[in-house]
Amino acid sequence: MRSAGSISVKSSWRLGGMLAIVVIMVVLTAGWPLVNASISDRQRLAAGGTLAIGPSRKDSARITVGDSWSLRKSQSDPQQDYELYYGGVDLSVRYVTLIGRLRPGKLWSGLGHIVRISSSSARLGVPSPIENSQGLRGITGTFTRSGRAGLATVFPGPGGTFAIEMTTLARPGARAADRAAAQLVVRSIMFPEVKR
Amino acid sequence: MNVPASAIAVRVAAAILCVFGLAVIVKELAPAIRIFPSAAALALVMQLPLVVIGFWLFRLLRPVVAPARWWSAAAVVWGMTAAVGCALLANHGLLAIWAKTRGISFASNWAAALSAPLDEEVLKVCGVVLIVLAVPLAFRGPIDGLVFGALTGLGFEAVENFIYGLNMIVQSGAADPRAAVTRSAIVRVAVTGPGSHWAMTAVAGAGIGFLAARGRRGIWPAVGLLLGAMAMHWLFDSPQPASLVIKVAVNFIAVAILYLALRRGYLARARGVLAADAAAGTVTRDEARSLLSRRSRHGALHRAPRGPERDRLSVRQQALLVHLEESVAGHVLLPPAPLSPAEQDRAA
Repeated sequence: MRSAGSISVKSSWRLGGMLAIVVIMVVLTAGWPLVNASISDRQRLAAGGTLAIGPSRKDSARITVGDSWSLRKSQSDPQQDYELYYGGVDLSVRYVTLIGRLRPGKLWSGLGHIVRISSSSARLGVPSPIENSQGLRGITGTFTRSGRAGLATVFPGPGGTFAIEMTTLARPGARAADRAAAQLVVRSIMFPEVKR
Repeated sequence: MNVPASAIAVRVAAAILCVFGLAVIVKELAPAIRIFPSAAALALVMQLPLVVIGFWLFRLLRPVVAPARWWSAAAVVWGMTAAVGCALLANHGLLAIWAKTRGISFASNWAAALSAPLDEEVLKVCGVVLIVLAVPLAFRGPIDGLVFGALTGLGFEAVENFIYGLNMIVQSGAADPRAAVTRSAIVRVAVTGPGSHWAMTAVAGAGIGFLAARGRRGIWPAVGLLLGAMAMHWLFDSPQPASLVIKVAVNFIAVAILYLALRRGYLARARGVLAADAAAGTVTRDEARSLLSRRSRHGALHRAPRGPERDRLSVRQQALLVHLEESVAGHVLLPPAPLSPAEQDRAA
């Protein structure tokens, strides 16, 4: 008895097949990022426009932007997060699903950890209370990262099942008016489920 | 055993791609692991049972003889490293293209369903193709492709689950990282696990098995099954139907039907080969009866007295299995040596 080889593969076929696999992997791995890099990421937002964030109306919030705000499309998802910018200021808005009981202090320390993922130098200051126009209370404090300064703000949603976390960071040379415009957007947060 | 230089080249290329994939994964995840070390460790540990049990179970799926342990592990490693690492880069690019060209609302609903099936199914099944090229002896037909595909998908699934666990920490505000990774692991192992990557790549891998066994005649089954795997993935990631249970059930049933059909065909051919061998007197009826079952073979071995007789029986079983596998795969081989009169007496 002999083991005659189950599936015989010629050397030329084998090397050709290997080459084909490598080409396919390079095309997928480098091709899409190259095409992506060639497309503009910017979307201008209308002055006074609102952006809803969250998976459903019940579990959602809205923010209102002023004139000349833009959005980074590749980093924005209406269900989870927005990356916005205006002048010299970047604004991140993130929807957070709460696991277990709502504890604002835990959310603040959690946010302190999250911001350090992108830069180990990122730090949050001591939080203080903040209130939106609906009378809903959140917490806010200073936020610094890689020599840039801004504010971090957390608003727990009305049902205690989610929260909205926002961070602003000013680039070096940003005007005071840019920072103020970012704070206006942060304070514009509204929760559709809150009647007021 | 001599390994052709071209096969060594394939193995080296596969190893380089695995190292590249691992490097991408490490670069991507290291910052989060550094910030949440205990939760990351928990997320990793929670995937170990999936890998161990899946590895054992999927190798059992192969009728008669399990695939080689080393190459089974290689399939899992490909799924864990090269496929995941390259998918991270490819998906990042394609998801962003959808958001930029079709808008963020469209991308929020459809980008995953339109990106992951294309990128991930191709990247995973590339590992199965590389195993065919590197170790043709490991492949005898579609059932081998299905098993190696399931193993590749298993590796991919475990690492993806780990990544989703880390993502869940951020998505839950890092208020309770360990609870976040626990919840993520439960959902992804217990709820979506039965119809996830292993099932999709098993289907695509069976296609590679057809291609390897039939050559040009296997192209259409291979293309059809790869598209089938992509369709399963599309269903899994699409916003409709919303029910995860339905999606998982559809995928599980699809792969189960394919497996049962391939297994049935394989066993029917194997019984035919053994019946012919028994009629020719090259195997006994007892051997023909026991050869297809791992348990029966082990039983026959343990019933034989320890020593030379058991060793001889073990060697004969291995020889008969090789003959059986090759014959089932349609290769013409010399028949097993006929039994000597003494062996026939013993068998009787």
